[in-house]
Amino acid sequence: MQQSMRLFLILPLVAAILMPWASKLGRRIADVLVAVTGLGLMVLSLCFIPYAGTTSTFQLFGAQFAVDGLSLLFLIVVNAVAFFCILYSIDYIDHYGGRAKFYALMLLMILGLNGILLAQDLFSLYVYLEVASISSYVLVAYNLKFDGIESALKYLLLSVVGTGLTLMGISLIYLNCGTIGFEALKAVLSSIGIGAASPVFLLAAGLFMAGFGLKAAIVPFHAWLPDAHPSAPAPISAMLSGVVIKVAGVYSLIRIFLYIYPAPSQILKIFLVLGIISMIAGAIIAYFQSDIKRMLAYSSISQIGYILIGLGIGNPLAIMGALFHVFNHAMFKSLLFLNSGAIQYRTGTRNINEMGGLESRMRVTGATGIFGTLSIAGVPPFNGFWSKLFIVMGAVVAGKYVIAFLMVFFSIFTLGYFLLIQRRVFFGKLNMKWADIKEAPLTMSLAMIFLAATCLLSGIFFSQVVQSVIEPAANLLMGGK
Amino acid sequence: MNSDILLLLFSGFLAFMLGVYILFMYRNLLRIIIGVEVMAKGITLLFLAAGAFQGKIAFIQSLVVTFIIVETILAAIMLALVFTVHKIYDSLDIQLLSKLKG
Amino acid sequence: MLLWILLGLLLVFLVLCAIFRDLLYMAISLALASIILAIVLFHYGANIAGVFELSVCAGLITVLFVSTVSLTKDSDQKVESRVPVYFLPFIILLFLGLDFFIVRWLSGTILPKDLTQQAASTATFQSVFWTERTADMLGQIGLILAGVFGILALFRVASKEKQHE
Repeated sequence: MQQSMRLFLILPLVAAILMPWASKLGRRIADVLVAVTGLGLMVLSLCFIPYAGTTSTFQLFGAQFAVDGLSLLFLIVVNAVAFFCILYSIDYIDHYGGRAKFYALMLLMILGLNGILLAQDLFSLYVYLEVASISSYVLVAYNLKFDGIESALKYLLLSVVGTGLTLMGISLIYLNCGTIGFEALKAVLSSIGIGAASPVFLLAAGLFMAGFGLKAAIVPFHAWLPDAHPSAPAPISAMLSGVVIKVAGVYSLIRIFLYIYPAPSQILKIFLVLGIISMIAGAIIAYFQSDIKRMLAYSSISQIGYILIGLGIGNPLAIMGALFHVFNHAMFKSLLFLNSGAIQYRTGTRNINEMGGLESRMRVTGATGIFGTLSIAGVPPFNGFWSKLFIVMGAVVAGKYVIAFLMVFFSIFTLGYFLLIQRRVFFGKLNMKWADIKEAPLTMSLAMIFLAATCLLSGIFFSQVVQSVIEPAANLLMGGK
Repeated sequence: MNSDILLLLFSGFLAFMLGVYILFMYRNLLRIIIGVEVMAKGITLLFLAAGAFQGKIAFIQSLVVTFIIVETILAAIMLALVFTVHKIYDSLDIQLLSKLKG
Repeated sequence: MLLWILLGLLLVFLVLCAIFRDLLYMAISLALASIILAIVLFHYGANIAGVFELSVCAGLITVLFVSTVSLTKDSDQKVESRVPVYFLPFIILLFLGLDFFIVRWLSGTILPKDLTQQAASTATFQSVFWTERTADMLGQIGLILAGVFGILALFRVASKEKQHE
């Protein structure tokens, strides 16, 4: 069973290699190949849920990889969202052209993300991070319009500085203790302690915070995100916002600071402060946007803030809430990005002011959009409610009442601006320009329906979800205390 | 720690900072790519210093080889993007990036 | 002493990269810096990394860079502002000071080697690269594929738009 975990790396690689030949054989064959690969990866990740509590290692060409509860949670998120985005792009990518290359790059991005989750040392993590990043630079520029290329360049140049700082941190750690493997580092750090014994670890922590914080788009390092996400094709926006910033940024931060480093209190304080700033700034800037995808991009920054606050509070309840929010945010934010993509696909605009009354023409898009809105705002039966509730309860237990109040307030604020936007896009008077538009094509609608169903079901059956995947991951992080 | 390793560290940090300076202060996109390369030289030196101090040149060598591959592919992608920008806008001025703000 | 000269030259060439007005000179200066870095790598016994640095960084990247410069040269008439160059002496002094403090701090705080129980290993490059670091190998395959498909994708769209015009 453990040996089949190799497929997380082999499947996307082989499918990407085969893609040019598959597309030579016929358009549909490339579609089938990518869809089957995506489905296979998602099913594979779901198959490992019973093993969530244990750490399983496996070998691939002699290299050691391992999956524990934390990686498994993120693997499920990556491969599920990736499958829905692949499904969506089968119809969506028609007007971009270059189908095979798009699929191949998307599969390589999935390879990179899975590799980040399976890697067992800092440098391998960096290499897979670059695989995912290089494919995402090209995918952001995929429309070959000016905005796409420019925001890809901006994303690339800022990322290069971020990964440069990360590499500097890795070299300092190697200089200091002669190892970069996760387990070995954990052992070294627990035997000599962090801080007083060796402040170099704290310097490296600062470098990692800046480098991976840039990937996670935490507020002082967020400049690339509001450009890159709107310019990318919709499935890529969904992948970037739902998965890439979480795996490349949040997962790396969690792995380093809560797993390898024994959650030092200085760093948890920084998480808390940056999280609050991100939550507030993201929500307020999002309110003033008139471009729907840009609004969603800023709201991603705000939601990443919630995750960081949960990690920063650091008690079991809040960490569980943060990890659950990672799952939930991936689902509803990719749903909302796919929605906005469907609207753009039919109307050709992202400007909220030009829309109106689209619900009567695009029933599926409208209905799933409401699901996404209610989830992101944290309305009870949906999944977003439970994760935010956990984080707020964690804050109350820790005695941080101001933070709890701020989170509740900005949750209501989020509901407010999202409802406002939904009303302007889907309800109200129909703009006569859109009198004869149709519903989005089949696979696009299917992907949105699946994601909306996930949002609702994981909200209704939240206790099962939490027990099966979230708790093992949280236990792993709390185990060190 | 002997002076050779301190010297390697010193030049590594200096090259990195110089690269960041070029990256952020110049406007021509090709110069900015040179800045990225200068940064990469600095990181190679830092890795070498770490490996030399730990006495594990073989290990650090394999990291450096991988890093050189990453650097090359990054440079190729950057040059392709710059080439495409030039095709559309007939200029390599990074100030055009500011069009996206707002 | 050799190392002092080499690293001094390396830094001089890197600074020259920031000074030269002509992009071709910049590229050549970077290539020379790469060659010196390769010699430093050889000096420390990192032969294969040195060969890579020499052939790939000094060779391939320079070729790519020069071809991009010549392909984009003719229309790029805008004169680069010299302001960053005028600031450069002060910036370098600032960096030198900062760097001095970082390195002095590091030299006092780095853990002694015996504390982390890391014996100097005698493993050869081949054994490390092909057994310990195979995870990176797989990543490299992914990277190369991403680079190939990325460049194909970027130039594909470019050629397609030309047909539309």
